[in-house]
Amino acid sequence: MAQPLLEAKGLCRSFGEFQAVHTLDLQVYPGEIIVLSGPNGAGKTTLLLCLSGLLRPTRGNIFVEGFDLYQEERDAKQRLAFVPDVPHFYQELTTWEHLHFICLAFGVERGWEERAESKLREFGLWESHDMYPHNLSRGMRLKLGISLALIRPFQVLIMDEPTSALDTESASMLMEKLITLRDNGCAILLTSHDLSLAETLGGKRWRMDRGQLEMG
Amino acid sequence: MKAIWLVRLRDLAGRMRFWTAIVGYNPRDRSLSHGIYLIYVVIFFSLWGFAVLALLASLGAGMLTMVKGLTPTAASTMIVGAILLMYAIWQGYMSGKRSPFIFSETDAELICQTPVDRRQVALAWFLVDWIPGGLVFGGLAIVLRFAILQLAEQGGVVWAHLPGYLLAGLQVVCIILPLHLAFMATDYALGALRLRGDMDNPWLRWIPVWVGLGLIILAITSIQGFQIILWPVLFPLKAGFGEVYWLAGFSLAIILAIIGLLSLYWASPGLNLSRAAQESRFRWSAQQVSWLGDSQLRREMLTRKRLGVGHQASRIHGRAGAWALIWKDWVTTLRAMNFGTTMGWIGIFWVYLGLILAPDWGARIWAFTIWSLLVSQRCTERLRADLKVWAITRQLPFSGRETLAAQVATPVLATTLLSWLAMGIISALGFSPMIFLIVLVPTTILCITLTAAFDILRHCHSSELLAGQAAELGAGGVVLGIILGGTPMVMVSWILNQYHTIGVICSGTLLGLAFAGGITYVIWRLTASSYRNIN
Repeated sequence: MAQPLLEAKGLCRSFGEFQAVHTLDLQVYPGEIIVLSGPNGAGKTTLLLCLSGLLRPTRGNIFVEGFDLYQEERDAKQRLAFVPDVPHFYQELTTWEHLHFICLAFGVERGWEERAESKLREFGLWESHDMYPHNLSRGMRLKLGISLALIRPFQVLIMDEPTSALDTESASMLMEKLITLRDNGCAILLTSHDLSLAETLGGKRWRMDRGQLEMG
Repeated sequence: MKAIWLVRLRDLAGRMRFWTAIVGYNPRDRSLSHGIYLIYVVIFFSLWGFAVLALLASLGAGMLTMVKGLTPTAASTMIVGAILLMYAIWQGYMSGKRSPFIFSETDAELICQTPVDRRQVALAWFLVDWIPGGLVFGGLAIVLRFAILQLAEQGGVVWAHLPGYLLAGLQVVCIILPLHLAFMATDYALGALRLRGDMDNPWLRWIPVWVGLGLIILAITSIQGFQIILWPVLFPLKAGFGEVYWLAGFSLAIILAIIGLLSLYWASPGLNLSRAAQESRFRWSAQQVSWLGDSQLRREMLTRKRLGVGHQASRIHGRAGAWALIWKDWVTTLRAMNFGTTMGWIGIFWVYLGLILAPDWGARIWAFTIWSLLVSQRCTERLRADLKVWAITRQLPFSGRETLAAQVATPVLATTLLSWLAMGIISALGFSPMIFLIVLVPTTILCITLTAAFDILRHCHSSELLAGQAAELGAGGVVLGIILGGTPMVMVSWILNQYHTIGVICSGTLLGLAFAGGITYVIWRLTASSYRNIN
C-alpha cells in the first residue's frame, strides 16, 4: 500500500483536565477525501488544528508525506495547507498582496500573477483584489482563505467547515475543485455538518464524538 | 426634556461606575457603613489629589523659573492662555470636521429619531463632555497657582499655608472652569452650525484655523494689539493667578461662559441628530473600547479606519523564500506609518540623545529605562501583529528561528541606525560620544528586543492566537530587558572610568561586546524555543 500523505501516531490533546481529543492513530492516503462530522464540541476543529501544526498536541506525532511536522517542519509545511473556518489576515495587506506574499513564501516567484488572478476570478474575488480583507464579507474572507491555501503547492489539504459561509454556487465550485485535487493525488481532510458531502465528493466519512474518532 | 437628561446622566453614571468600582464603592449599597466608606473615600482622594498637585507644583515652580523675563504670574498666564487657545482652535477645527456630539447606537435609535428639542440635547451632551476637559485644565491651573505660591514663600507646603493654598486653588479653578466652558461651548456651537439640516459646510472648520493664524500674525507684528484682542481671556487668567482683582476676573469669566452657552443655544435648534449619530458611531465604539481598557482593539479599529477600503498593490520588489517575510514587513510597516508611529521612532531617537548627554548616573538610568521601554514596544510590534494571524504565520515553510529573525530584523536595524544617528549628531555638535556605546548599541537593542519577544511568546497560547489575540508585553519582560541590556553597558562604563589607557578602552569594549553577545545569544535560543513551543 502507498505511503500515507498524512499520518498521526498516538495523537491526543487536552486542555487542563479536559481531554478534547483522545489518543488516536490515523492515516490519509493519496487520492482520499475524508469528511469528518460530529456534534458541536466533539473535538473536530481541535483535531484539525493539531494535524495542521497550529495547535501543539499534548502527545503524539504527525507526519506529512513521512516528514515529522515538528522535527522536519520546513519539509512538512511545504506539503500541507490548512483553511480555518474563520481566517484572519494581515490588516495592512490587500487581497492581492496576501496572495503575492504566500506565493513568495512558498517559493513561487514566476507566473504567480496568473495563478493569483485565476484563483481570484474562480472565487469571484477579482473585483476586490485591491481591497483590505477586513472590508470583505465573511464568505469572501473564507474564499480568500481558500485561495491562499490553493495557490501554493501542497499534497495534503485540511479544511475546517469550508462550505459554512459560502453561497451555493461557490460551494459547488469548491466541490469540483476538491474532486480535481483528489484525482491529482492529494489527500483531503475536511469537517462538515453536511452528511451528504462525503457521497458528493466520493470520499470516506469519519465521525468524531467527545474526542473519540470513529473511522467509517 | 427630563428624558434627555436622564439618558445623559445615566451615561455619565456608567462612566463613573468604572472609577467607583476601582475604589470598591457600590452605588446600589445604601447601608450606613457604605455611606461612611464613601465619605472616607472622598476625603482620602481629596487629600491624595491635593498632595499630588502640591508635588507637581514643585516641578511647575522649576518650570516657571526657567521662563526668563517674565514674572511667575505672567508666565503662568501665558502658559495656560496658550494651551487654552491651542486647545480651542484644535477642538474648533475638529468640531467643524466631524460631529462633536457623540451618540451611541441606542441614542441614535431612541433620541435621534424623535422630535425632542435639539437645544436640550446639545446642552446635555455638551455639559457631560465638558467635565473631563474642565478637570484637566483645572488641575493644570491649580499646579501653576501652587507653584507661584511656593516661589513666593520660598518653601514647600506646610500646614500653616494650607488655607492659603486651598483658597488660591479654589480661586483659580473658579476662573479656569468657566473660561474652558466658554471656549468649548463655542466649538460645539460651530459643530452644531455645521450639522444644521442636510447641508455640509466644510468651510466652517477653517474659521478656527484662520483665527489662529490671525493671532499668530498679530503676535509677531504687534504684541500690544495681540494683548488687547486677547484681553477678555488674559484678564480672568491674571485674576486667577492673583495678579489682578479676582472678583472682576471671575465676573468676566462667567460672562464669557454665558456667551459661549448662548451661542450653543442659538446654533443648535437646527441640529441634525441623525447626521451627528452617523458621523459619531465609530468614535463612540472607539471610546467604549478605550474605557474597557482594550488598547489593542482600539489601535486595530483606528488602523482599519485609516487604511480605508483598499490600496493599489505595493511596488516593492519581493524575493522568494524567507525574504518574503522581510517584503511583507516593509509593506505593512510603510502602510501602517502614521503620525503616532513616526513620533514613536522620533521619541526613541530623542531619548537616546538624552541618554548620551545625561550628566550623571541617575539621569542616565532614567533615560536608559525609558529608552528600553520604547525599544521593547516598538521592536516587537511586528511580531505581535504576525502572531495575530497565527493560521498564516504558522503555516509558512520556515523554522521558528527564521520567522523570528525576520520579524525583529527591520525594527532592530532601524533602532540601531537611529541610535548611531544620535551619536553622529552629538559628534557633529562637538561632544565626544563614548566609543563603547557605538559598538554595544546593536547587541543591546537586540537583547532588549529578544527579551521582550520572549516575554510575549511565553504568554501566548495557540487558542488565543487563533482568535486573533496576541499577548501584550509585560512589565517582567521590560525589566529583564533593562537588566540584561544594561549590564554590559554599566560594566564597560565602570571599567573605562577606572582606567583611561587606549588598551583598556579597546579590551574593555571588546569584553563588553563579548559579554553582551553571549547574553543575546542565550536569549535568542530561549526566544526561538518558546516560539517553536507555543502551546
